[in-house]
Amino acid sequence: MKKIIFYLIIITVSILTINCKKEGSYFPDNSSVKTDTSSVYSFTSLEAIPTTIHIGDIVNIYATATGKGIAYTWSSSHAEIFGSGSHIQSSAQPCCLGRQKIGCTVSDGVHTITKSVVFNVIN
Amino acid sequence: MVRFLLVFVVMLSFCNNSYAQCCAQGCSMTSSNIFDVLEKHHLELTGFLKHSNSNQYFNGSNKYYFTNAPLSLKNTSFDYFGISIGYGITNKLSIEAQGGYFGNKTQNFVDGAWLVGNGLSDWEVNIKYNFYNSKDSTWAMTISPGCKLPLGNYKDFTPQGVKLSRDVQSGTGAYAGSLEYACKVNIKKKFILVGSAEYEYNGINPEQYQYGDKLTITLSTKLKMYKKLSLVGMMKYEKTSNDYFYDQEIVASGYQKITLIPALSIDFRKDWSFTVIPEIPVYQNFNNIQFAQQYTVSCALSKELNLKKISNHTIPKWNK
Repeated sequence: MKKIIFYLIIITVSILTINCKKEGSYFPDNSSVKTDTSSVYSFTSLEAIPTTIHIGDIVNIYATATGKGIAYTWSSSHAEIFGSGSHIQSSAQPCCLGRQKIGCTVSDGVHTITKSVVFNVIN
Repeated sequence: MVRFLLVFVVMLSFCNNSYAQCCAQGCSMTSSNIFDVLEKHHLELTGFLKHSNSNQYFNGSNKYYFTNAPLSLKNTSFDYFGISIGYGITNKLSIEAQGGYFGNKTQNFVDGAWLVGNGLSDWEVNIKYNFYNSKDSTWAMTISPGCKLPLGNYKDFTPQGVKLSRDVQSGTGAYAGSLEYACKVNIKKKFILVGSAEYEYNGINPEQYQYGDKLTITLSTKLKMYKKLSLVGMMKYEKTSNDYFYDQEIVASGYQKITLIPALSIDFRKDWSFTVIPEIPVYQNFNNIQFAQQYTVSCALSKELNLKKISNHTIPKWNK
Protein backbone atom coordinates (compact mmCIF):
# COMPACT_ATOMS: atom_id res chain seq x y z
CA MET A 1 0.00 0.00 0.00
CA LYS A 2 2.87 2.34 0.87
CA LYS A 3 4.33 1.73 -2.57
CA ILE A 4 1.08 2.69 -4.26
CA ILE A 5 0.82 5.90 -2.26
CA PHE A 6 4.45 6.64 -3.11
CA TYR A 7 3.81 6.29 -6.85
CA LEU A 8 0.63 8.33 -6.65
CA ILE A 9 2.46 11.11 -4.83
CA ILE A 10 5.21 11.12 -7.49
CA ILE A 11 2.67 11.39 -10.31
CA THR A 12 0.62 14.03 -8.49
CA VAL A 13 3.62 16.18 -7.61
CA SER A 14 5.06 15.95 -11.13
CA ILE A 15 1.79 17.15 -12.64
CA LEU A 16 1.35 19.96 -10.15
CA THR A 17 4.89 21.23 -10.62
CA ILE A 18 4.60 21.49 -14.37
CA ASN A 19 5.58 24.96 -15.38
CA CYS A 20 2.96 26.18 -17.82
CA LYS A 21 2.87 29.32 -19.88
CA LYS A 22 0.62 31.82 -18.20
CA GLU A 23 -2.94 31.60 -19.43
CA GLY A 24 -4.18 34.55 -21.43
CA SER A 25 -4.03 36.22 -24.75
CA TYR A 26 -1.84 38.67 -26.60
CA PHE A 27 -2.56 41.00 -29.45
CA PRO A 28 0.12 43.25 -31.01
CA ASP A 29 -1.85 46.48 -30.64
CA ASN A 30 -3.59 45.33 -27.52
CA SER A 31 -5.43 48.07 -25.70
CA SER A 32 -4.91 47.99 -21.96
CA VAL A 33 -7.70 47.75 -19.42
CA LYS A 34 -9.30 51.15 -19.17
CA THR A 35 -10.79 52.32 -15.94
CA ASP A 36 -13.17 55.22 -16.12
CA THR A 37 -13.43 57.26 -12.95
CA SER A 38 -16.69 59.05 -13.80
CA SER A 39 -19.19 58.78 -11.01
CA VAL A 40 -22.30 58.24 -13.19
CA TYR A 41 -22.72 54.62 -14.29
CA SER A 42 -23.97 53.87 -17.77
CA PHE A 43 -23.33 51.39 -20.62
CA THR A 44 -24.45 53.30 -23.67
CA SER A 45 -23.32 51.26 -26.67
CA LEU A 46 -21.57 48.18 -28.05
CA GLU A 47 -20.48 48.49 -31.65
CA ALA A 48 -18.77 46.18 -34.17
CA ILE A 49 -16.77 47.71 -37.05
CA PRO A 50 -17.07 46.39 -39.71
CA THR A 51 -20.13 44.22 -39.32
CA THR A 52 -19.10 41.76 -42.05
CA ILE A 53 -15.63 40.19 -42.37
CA HIS A 54 -13.90 37.38 -44.24
CA ILE A 55 -12.38 34.40 -42.38
CA GLY A 56 -9.28 35.51 -40.45
CA ASP A 57 -10.03 39.24 -40.83
CA ILE A 58 -10.34 41.58 -37.88
CA VAL A 59 -13.46 43.15 -36.45
CA ASN A 60 -13.09 45.93 -33.86
CA ILE A 61 -15.62 46.01 -31.07
CA TYR A 62 -16.04 49.10 -28.90
CA ALA A 63 -17.93 49.29 -25.62
CA THR A 64 -18.89 52.75 -24.45
CA ALA A 65 -19.53 52.91 -20.74
CA THR A 66 -18.98 55.34 -17.91
CA GLY A 67 -18.73 54.77 -14.19
CA LYS A 68 -16.31 54.57 -11.32
CA GLY A 69 -13.90 51.63 -11.45
CA ILE A 70 -15.79 49.79 -14.18
CA ALA A 71 -14.58 46.41 -15.49
CA TYR A 72 -15.31 44.79 -18.84
CA THR A 73 -15.92 41.04 -19.29
CA TRP A 74 -16.07 39.68 -22.84
CA SER A 75 -17.39 36.37 -24.12
CA SER A 76 -18.12 34.78 -27.44
CA SER A 77 -20.04 31.73 -28.55
CA HIS A 78 -17.52 30.81 -31.19
CA ALA A 79 -15.16 33.55 -32.36
CA GLU A 80 -11.76 34.38 -30.88
CA ILE A 81 -11.38 37.51 -28.78
CA PHE A 82 -8.16 39.52 -28.46
CA GLY A 83 -7.40 42.36 -26.13
CA SER A 84 -9.32 43.53 -23.11
CA GLY A 85 -10.95 46.63 -21.66
CA SER A 86 -13.38 48.78 -23.64
CA HIS A 87 -11.96 47.87 -27.06
CA ILE A 88 -11.37 44.31 -28.24
CA GLN A 89 -10.74 42.70 -31.56
CA SER A 90 -12.31 39.51 -32.80
CA SER A 91 -11.96 37.09 -35.66
CA ALA A 92 -13.31 33.76 -36.78
CA GLN A 93 -11.85 30.56 -38.19
CA PRO A 94 -13.42 28.58 -41.08
CA CYS A 95 -15.49 26.63 -38.58
CA CYS A 96 -17.37 29.75 -37.63
CA LEU A 97 -18.98 31.09 -40.79
CA GLY A 98 -22.16 33.11 -40.37
CA ARG A 99 -23.40 35.27 -37.49
CA GLN A 100 -21.07 35.61 -34.53
CA LYS A 101 -22.28 37.01 -31.25
CA ILE A 102 -19.98 38.83 -28.85
CA GLY A 103 -21.21 39.66 -25.37
CA CYS A 104 -19.86 42.36 -23.09
CA THR A 105 -20.67 42.75 -19.42
CA VAL A 106 -19.80 46.04 -17.73
CA SER A 107 -19.77 46.19 -13.96
CA ASP A 108 -18.76 48.75 -11.37
CA GLY A 109 -19.07 46.25 -8.56
CA VAL A 110 -22.64 47.30 -7.79
CA HIS A 111 -24.34 47.54 -11.18
CA THR A 112 -23.93 45.02 -14.00
CA ILE A 113 -25.19 45.50 -17.54
CA THR A 114 -24.71 43.03 -20.43
CA LYS A 115 -25.03 43.89 -24.11
CA SER A 116 -24.30 41.86 -27.21
CA VAL A 117 -23.34 42.65 -30.77
CA VAL A 118 -23.39 40.50 -33.91
CA PHE A 119 -21.02 40.44 -36.86
CA ASN A 120 -21.12 38.29 -39.94
CA VAL A 121 -18.29 36.03 -41.18
CA ILE A 122 -18.21 35.15 -44.85
CA ASN A 123 -15.93 32.90 -46.91
CA MET B 1 -11.11 -4.32 -3.68
CA VAL B 2 -11.17 -1.85 -0.78
CA ARG B 3 -7.65 -0.78 -1.69
CA PHE B 4 -8.64 -0.21 -5.26
CA LEU B 5 -11.57 1.96 -4.24
CA LEU B 6 -9.30 3.90 -1.92
CA VAL B 7 -6.84 4.57 -4.73
CA PHE B 8 -9.67 5.57 -7.04
CA VAL B 9 -11.15 7.98 -4.52
CA VAL B 10 -7.72 9.52 -3.90
CA MET B 11 -7.24 10.10 -7.62
CA LEU B 12 -10.71 11.59 -8.07
CA SER B 13 -10.26 13.91 -5.12
CA PHE B 14 -6.99 15.10 -6.64
CA CYS B 15 -8.88 15.73 -9.80
CA ASN B 16 -11.55 17.81 -8.08
CA ASN B 17 -9.00 19.80 -6.12
CA SER B 18 -7.31 20.82 -9.31
CA TYR B 19 -10.58 21.77 -10.95
CA ALA B 20 -10.53 25.30 -9.60
CA GLN B 21 -7.32 26.05 -11.45
CA CYS B 22 -8.98 25.68 -14.82
CA CYS B 23 -9.46 22.93 -17.43
CA ALA B 24 -9.95 20.85 -21.95
CA GLN B 25 -10.91 18.45 -24.42
CA GLY B 26 -10.34 14.75 -23.91
CA CYS B 27 -6.85 13.73 -24.84
CA SER B 28 -6.39 10.07 -24.18
CA MET B 29 -3.13 8.28 -24.50
CA THR B 30 -2.72 6.18 -27.63
CA SER B 31 -2.12 2.90 -25.89
CA SER B 32 0.28 0.35 -27.30
CA ASN B 33 -1.77 -2.23 -25.44
CA ILE B 34 -5.36 -1.97 -26.59
CA PHE B 35 -6.25 -5.54 -25.84
CA ASP B 36 -4.92 -6.96 -22.60
CA VAL B 37 -7.08 -7.09 -19.51
CA LEU B 38 -5.17 -6.69 -16.26
CA GLU B 39 -4.85 -9.72 -14.02
CA LYS B 40 -6.93 -9.91 -10.88
CA HIS B 41 -5.70 -7.54 -8.15
CA HIS B 42 -3.12 -6.01 -10.47
CA LEU B 43 -2.91 -2.24 -10.54
CA GLU B 44 -1.30 -0.42 -13.45
CA LEU B 45 -0.24 3.18 -13.08
CA THR B 46 0.81 5.11 -16.17
CA GLY B 47 2.06 8.66 -16.44
CA PHE B 48 2.39 10.13 -19.90
CA LEU B 49 3.29 13.31 -21.73
CA LYS B 50 1.81 14.16 -25.10
CA HIS B 51 2.89 16.95 -27.40
CA SER B 52 0.96 17.85 -30.52
CA ASN B 53 1.63 20.39 -33.23
CA SER B 54 -0.42 21.64 -36.18
CA ASN B 55 0.64 24.18 -38.76
CA GLN B 56 -1.40 23.81 -41.93
CA TYR B 57 -4.93 24.39 -43.18
CA PHE B 58 -6.48 21.69 -45.33
CA ASN B 59 -9.44 21.99 -47.67
CA GLY B 60 -10.55 18.41 -48.18
CA SER B 61 -7.31 16.48 -48.54
CA ASN B 62 -5.33 19.37 -50.05
CA LYS B 63 -3.29 22.06 -48.32
CA TYR B 64 -4.98 25.43 -48.21
CA TYR B 65 -3.38 28.86 -47.92
CA PHE B 66 -5.08 32.10 -46.92
CA THR B 67 -3.79 34.99 -49.00
CA ASN B 68 -4.73 37.84 -46.71
CA ALA B 69 -6.07 36.90 -43.30
CA PRO B 70 -4.10 38.44 -40.40
CA LEU B 71 -5.96 36.39 -37.82
CA SER B 72 -5.72 33.06 -39.61
CA LEU B 73 -3.82 30.44 -37.63
CA LYS B 74 -0.07 30.13 -38.01
CA ASN B 75 0.28 27.11 -35.73
CA THR B 76 -1.34 25.45 -32.76
CA SER B 77 0.13 23.14 -30.16
CA PHE B 78 -0.50 21.61 -26.78
CA ASP B 79 1.31 19.67 -24.08
CA TYR B 80 -0.74 17.18 -22.17
CA PHE B 81 0.31 15.53 -18.93
CA GLY B 82 -1.86 12.51 -18.24
CA ILE B 83 -2.29 9.67 -15.81
CA SER B 84 -4.00 6.38 -16.30
CA ILE B 85 -4.99 3.98 -13.53
CA GLY B 86 -6.06 0.44 -14.35
CA TYR B 87 -7.14 -2.30 -11.99
CA GLY B 88 -7.91 -5.96 -12.57
CA ILE B 89 -11.17 -6.78 -10.80
CA THR B 90 -11.08 -10.37 -12.03
CA ASN B 91 -8.79 -12.07 -14.54
CA LYS B 92 -11.30 -11.18 -17.24
CA LEU B 93 -12.51 -7.78 -16.09
CA SER B 94 -10.56 -4.60 -15.49
CA ILE B 95 -11.41 -0.96 -15.00
CA GLU B 96 -9.39 2.02 -16.18
CA ALA B 97 -9.60 5.76 -15.49
CA GLN B 98 -7.64 8.33 -17.46
CA GLY B 99 -7.30 12.08 -17.26
CA GLY B 100 -4.76 14.82 -17.09
CA TYR B 101 -3.76 18.42 -17.48
CA PHE B 102 -3.40 20.54 -20.59
CA GLY B 103 -0.38 22.80 -20.43
CA ASN B 104 0.09 25.55 -22.98
CA LYS B 105 -2.84 24.85 -25.27
CA THR B 106 -1.77 27.50 -27.71
CA GLN B 107 -3.04 29.16 -30.88
CA ASN B 108 -0.54 31.41 -32.67
CA PHE B 109 -1.91 33.69 -35.37
CA VAL B 110 -0.25 35.08 -38.49
CA ASP B 111 -0.01 38.66 -37.20
CA GLY B 112 1.66 37.62 -33.92
CA ALA B 113 -1.42 37.39 -31.71
CA TRP B 114 -1.78 34.32 -29.49
CA LEU B 115 -4.22 32.63 -27.14
CA VAL B 116 -3.17 30.22 -24.41
CA GLY B 117 -5.28 28.02 -22.16
CA ASN B 118 -4.28 25.59 -19.41
CA GLY B 119 -6.20 23.25 -17.19
CA LEU B 120 -7.49 19.90 -16.19
CA SER B 121 -8.97 17.77 -18.95
CA ASP B 122 -12.11 15.68 -19.01
CA TRP B 123 -11.75 12.20 -17.53
CA GLU B 124 -12.42 8.89 -19.22
CA VAL B 125 -13.49 5.76 -17.37
CA ASN B 126 -13.91 2.40 -19.05
CA ILE B 127 -14.39 -1.24 -18.21
CA LYS B 128 -12.68 -3.94 -20.26
CA TYR B 129 -14.13 -7.44 -20.37
CA ASN B 130 -12.45 -10.43 -21.98
CA PHE B 131 -15.53 -12.34 -23.14
CA TYR B 132 -14.00 -14.97 -25.40
CA ASN B 133 -10.86 -17.08 -25.50
CA SER B 134 -10.50 -19.96 -27.93
CA LYS B 135 -9.31 -23.27 -26.46
CA ASP B 136 -6.10 -23.26 -28.46
CA SER B 137 -5.42 -19.60 -27.47
CA THR B 138 -5.49 -18.45 -31.08
CA TRP B 139 -8.42 -16.07 -30.68
CA ALA B 140 -9.40 -13.75 -27.87
CA MET B 141 -11.91 -10.93 -27.77
CA THR B 142 -12.68 -8.07 -25.42
CA ILE B 143 -15.38 -5.48 -25.19
CA SER B 144 -14.91 -2.15 -23.47
CA PRO B 145 -17.73 0.28 -22.69
CA GLY B 146 -16.70 3.65 -21.34
CA CYS B 147 -17.73 7.17 -20.60
CA LYS B 148 -16.21 10.63 -20.47
CA LEU B 149 -16.82 12.83 -17.47
CA PRO B 150 -16.71 16.58 -18.22
CA LEU B 151 -14.41 17.58 -15.39
CA GLY B 152 -12.44 20.01 -17.56
CA ASN B 153 -13.31 23.67 -17.86
CA TYR B 154 -15.05 24.76 -21.06
CA LYS B 155 -15.58 28.44 -20.19
CA ASP B 156 -12.29 29.70 -18.92
CA PHE B 157 -11.54 33.44 -18.92
CA THR B 158 -8.24 35.29 -18.97
CA PRO B 159 -7.38 37.34 -15.85
CA GLN B 160 -8.47 40.40 -17.90
CA GLY B 161 -12.02 39.06 -18.18
CA VAL B 162 -11.95 37.75 -21.74
CA LYS B 163 -13.32 34.33 -22.52
CA LEU B 164 -10.84 32.02 -24.27
CA SER B 165 -11.82 30.43 -27.57
CA ARG B 166 -13.25 26.91 -27.53
CA ASP B 167 -10.09 25.46 -29.06
CA VAL B 168 -7.90 26.44 -26.10
CA GLN B 169 -10.37 25.47 -23.39
CA SER B 170 -9.20 22.40 -21.49
CA GLY B 171 -12.61 20.66 -21.29
CA THR B 172 -15.63 20.00 -23.48
CA GLY B 173 -18.38 20.42 -20.90
CA ALA B 174 -20.18 17.40 -22.35
CA TYR B 175 -20.59 13.79 -21.31
CA ALA B 176 -19.63 11.14 -23.84
CA GLY B 177 -20.09 7.41 -24.14
CA SER B 178 -17.98 4.90 -26.02
CA LEU B 179 -17.92 1.23 -26.91
CA GLU B 180 -14.82 -0.59 -28.07
CA TYR B 181 -14.43 -4.10 -29.44
CA ALA B 182 -10.99 -5.68 -29.76
CA CYS B 183 -9.90 -8.98 -31.20
CA LYS B 184 -6.50 -10.64 -30.79
CA VAL B 185 -5.24 -13.32 -33.16
CA ASN B 186 -2.17 -15.33 -32.29
CA ILE B 187 -0.91 -16.61 -35.63
CA LYS B 188 1.05 -19.84 -35.13
CA LYS B 189 1.90 -18.61 -31.61
CA LYS B 190 4.56 -16.33 -33.06
CA PHE B 191 2.82 -13.33 -34.50
CA ILE B 192 0.09 -11.44 -32.65
CA LEU B 193 -2.32 -9.18 -34.51
CA VAL B 194 -4.81 -6.97 -32.68
CA GLY B 195 -7.73 -5.25 -34.35
CA SER B 196 -10.12 -2.89 -32.63
CA ALA B 197 -13.09 -0.71 -33.42
CA GLU B 198 -14.39 2.05 -31.16
CA TYR B 199 -17.44 4.25 -31.49
CA GLU B 200 -17.75 7.41 -29.41
CA TYR B 201 -20.88 9.48 -28.99
CA ASN B 202 -20.54 13.01 -27.65
CA GLY B 203 -23.32 14.74 -25.78
CA ILE B 204 -24.34 18.40 -25.96
CA ASN B 205 -22.58 20.75 -23.57
CA PRO B 206 -24.35 23.55 -21.62
CA GLU B 207 -23.32 26.02 -24.37
CA GLN B 208 -25.28 23.89 -26.85
CA TYR B 209 -22.14 22.72 -28.64
CA GLN B 210 -21.88 19.08 -29.65
CA TYR B 211 -18.72 17.48 -30.95
CA GLY B 212 -19.24 14.94 -33.73
CA ASP B 213 -19.38 11.20 -33.21
CA LYS B 214 -16.13 9.37 -33.74
CA LEU B 215 -15.28 5.97 -35.17
CA THR B 216 -11.76 4.65 -34.62
CA ILE B 217 -10.43 1.45 -36.18
CA THR B 218 -6.94 0.20 -35.38
CA LEU B 219 -4.77 -2.65 -36.47
CA SER B 220 -1.61 -3.33 -34.49
CA THR B 221 1.12 -5.82 -33.87
CA LYS B 222 4.01 -6.11 -31.45
CA LEU B 223 7.39 -7.35 -32.55
CA LYS B 224 10.14 -8.26 -30.13
CA MET B 225 13.30 -6.57 -31.36
CA TYR B 226 15.88 -7.24 -28.68
CA LYS B 227 15.38 -8.85 -25.26
CA LYS B 228 13.07 -6.35 -23.58
CA LEU B 229 12.77 -3.92 -26.46
CA SER B 230 9.65 -4.16 -28.59
CA LEU B 231 8.28 -2.34 -31.60
CA VAL B 232 4.56 -1.78 -31.78
CA GLY B 233 3.31 -1.04 -35.26
CA MET B 234 -0.15 0.45 -35.46
CA MET B 235 -2.36 1.85 -38.18
CA LYS B 236 -5.26 3.97 -37.02
CA TYR B 237 -8.25 5.13 -39.04
CA GLU B 238 -10.50 7.85 -37.58
CA LYS B 239 -13.73 9.27 -38.91
CA THR B 240 -15.62 11.99 -37.11
CA SER B 241 -18.96 13.43 -38.10
CA ASN B 242 -19.80 17.14 -38.10
CA ASP B 243 -20.10 19.16 -34.91
CA TYR B 244 -23.36 20.92 -34.09
CA PHE B 245 -24.01 24.29 -32.45
CA TYR B 246 -27.59 25.08 -31.46
CA ASP B 247 -28.69 22.23 -33.76
CA GLN B 248 -26.91 23.90 -36.70
CA GLU B 249 -24.37 21.70 -38.46
CA ILE B 250 -20.89 23.20 -38.54
CA VAL B 251 -19.82 22.64 -42.11
CA ALA B 252 -16.09 22.98 -41.44
CA SER B 253 -15.88 20.13 -38.94
CA GLY B 254 -15.51 16.38 -39.17
CA TYR B 255 -12.73 14.54 -40.93
CA GLN B 256 -11.21 11.23 -41.93
CA LYS B 257 -7.66 10.48 -40.99
CA ILE B 258 -5.19 7.60 -41.24
CA THR B 259 -2.31 7.69 -38.78
CA LEU B 260 0.81 5.59 -38.60
CA ILE B 261 2.01 4.84 -35.08
CA PRO B 262 5.39 3.13 -34.77
CA ALA B 263 5.78 2.87 -30.97
CA LEU B 264 8.92 1.70 -29.22
CA SER B 265 8.54 0.01 -25.84
CA ILE B 266 11.15 -1.11 -23.33
CA ASP B 267 10.54 -3.15 -20.18
CA PHE B 268 12.95 -2.62 -17.32
CA ARG B 269 13.47 -3.53 -13.70
CA LYS B 270 10.39 -5.36 -12.50
CA ASP B 271 7.06 -4.51 -14.10
CA TRP B 272 8.18 -1.11 -15.41
CA SER B 273 7.86 -0.11 -19.03
CA PHE B 274 8.66 3.00 -21.01
CA THR B 275 7.03 3.68 -24.38
CA VAL B 276 7.60 6.35 -27.00
CA ILE B 277 4.62 6.78 -29.30
CA PRO B 278 4.90 9.04 -32.36
CA GLU B 279 1.75 9.59 -34.39
CA ILE B 280 2.23 10.58 -38.01
CA PRO B 281 -0.84 11.36 -40.12
CA VAL B 282 -0.42 9.83 -43.57
CA TYR B 283 -3.84 10.78 -44.93
CA GLN B 284 -6.19 13.55 -43.83
CA ASN B 285 -9.44 14.55 -45.47
CA PHE B 286 -11.44 17.36 -43.89
CA ASN B 287 -14.93 18.64 -44.46
CA ASN B 288 -14.38 22.16 -45.82
CA ILE B 289 -11.36 24.15 -44.53
CA GLN B 290 -9.84 23.05 -41.22
CA PHE B 291 -6.54 23.23 -39.41
CA ALA B 292 -4.77 19.87 -39.69
CA GLN B 293 -2.54 18.04 -37.26
CA GLN B 294 1.11 17.80 -38.23
CA TYR B 295 2.39 15.30 -35.65
CA THR B 296 1.88 14.07 -32.11
CA VAL B 297 4.42 12.38 -29.86
CA SER B 298 3.82 10.76 -26.48
CA CYS B 299 6.07 9.23 -23.82
CA ALA B 300 4.54 6.89 -21.27
CA LEU B 301 5.97 5.34 -18.13
CA SER B 302 4.03 2.42 -16.65
CA LYS B 303 4.32 0.35 -13.52
CA GLU B 304 2.25 -2.72 -12.76
CA LEU B 305 1.70 -3.72 -9.16
CA ASN B 306 0.29 -6.91 -7.73
CA LEU B 307 -1.82 -5.66 -4.83
CA LYS B 308 -2.45 -9.14 -3.49
CA LYS B 309 1.27 -9.70 -3.19
CA ILE B 310 1.80 -6.34 -1.53
CA SER B 311 -0.99 -6.90 0.98
CA ASN B 312 0.46 -10.32 1.85
CA HIS B 313 3.74 -8.62 2.64
CA THR B 314 2.26 -5.76 4.63
CA ILE B 315 -0.20 -7.69 6.85
CA PRO B 316 1.70 -9.22 9.81
CA LYS B 317 1.45 -13.00 10.02
CA TRP B 318 -0.19 -12.93 13.45
CA ASN B 319 -2.96 -10.77 12.04
CA LYS B 320 -3.94 -13.14 9.22
